[in-house]
Amino acid sequence: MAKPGVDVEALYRQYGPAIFRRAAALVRDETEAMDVTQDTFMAFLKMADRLRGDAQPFTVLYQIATNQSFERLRRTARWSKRVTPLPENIDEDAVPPPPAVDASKRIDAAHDLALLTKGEDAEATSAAALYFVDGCTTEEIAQSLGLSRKTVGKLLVQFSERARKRAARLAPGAYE
Amino acid sequence: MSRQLKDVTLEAYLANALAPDVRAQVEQTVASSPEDAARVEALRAETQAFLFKHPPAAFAARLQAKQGVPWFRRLWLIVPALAASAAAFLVLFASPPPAPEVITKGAVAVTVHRQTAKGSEVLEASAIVHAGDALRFAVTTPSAGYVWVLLRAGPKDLPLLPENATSPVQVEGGQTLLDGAVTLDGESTFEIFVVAWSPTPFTLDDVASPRVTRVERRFEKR
Repeated sequence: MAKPGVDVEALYRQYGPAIFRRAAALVRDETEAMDVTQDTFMAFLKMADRLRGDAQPFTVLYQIATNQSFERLRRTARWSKRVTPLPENIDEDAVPPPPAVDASKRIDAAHDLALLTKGEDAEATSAAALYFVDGCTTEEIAQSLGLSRKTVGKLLVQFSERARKRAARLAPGAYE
Repeated sequence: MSRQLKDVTLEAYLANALAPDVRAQVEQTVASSPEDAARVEALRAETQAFLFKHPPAAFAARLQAKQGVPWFRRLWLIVPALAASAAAFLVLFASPPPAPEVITKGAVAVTVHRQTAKGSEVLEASAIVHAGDALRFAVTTPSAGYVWVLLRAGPKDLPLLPENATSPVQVEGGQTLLDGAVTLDGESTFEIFVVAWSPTPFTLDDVASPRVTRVERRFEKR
């Protein structure tokens, strides 16, 4: 059931289209994207009580949608070595600009990242997706998701530490 | 010049989720970058089309169904569903051809949608409405202009959509699904909606003037 005080229709009207588009950009299938949108709102409603007072619904929904999309991609994703995690000893305040991802290679990059983000939380997953797949700078990620640039840098550096280990275990063409 | 803003930034901008200083920067960029301005417009159009295809009330109902309803409450859902199926059977095999569902005047057309648990249905002219029904209005206009949905209530029409507004809503030419829904009360035995359109701004006092095109939809209510 919807939580008392949460106007689901208003929430969906304001954020639903953007969440659907986010999911569609990653899963590349309209029906799956709609399923992700539903799952995202359900997950959001379940956690609505526990959200901080200043939590921005857009940020939370966007992060959940990205995470849910990768969960679906993970079922069929193959490792193509398109994504290279950040190297060691990168300063959290000095994360380099994202690697240029050609539009035609974004699907491969999303599949790779789906494999690399297994077990990651929604915040780290969405920051990694925006950086490695969408080509957003830390500044752009910070501004759009209402996080500090330092937080984004920290998320990417820590994620890369774990992702390097996972990538080392994956051979090109391997499934999860 | 190519786009300067990423989709995530524009989505956050359109969702009104940016900090004020960032929002101001984005507005400045959009104002000076035709490519970004075009993308904003495209996203707005996609949003409108998406909400038309997947109406909020239907989405909320699906979420509720997915989250599970206790068995004893499900009975209350099944009984009306069976009754509706039986009624649909009777309508299909016993009634004359339905009245037109889109009423037009000049080049302005109005379609009324009733939100249902499974989505929405288009109301034919002979449709019966009920207290509690949520109705949405799709208006097709020959060009960009201004639209007001009003309720005939005695000598003066009451504005319904846009909600709580003192001026009509601006629409592009073509079909527009108006934001907001009208929830019916149980006070009368019929409802008459007036959709008023003009290519130029108008006030409530202008609704009866010749420069405003009016399309009326009347529904019996039980």
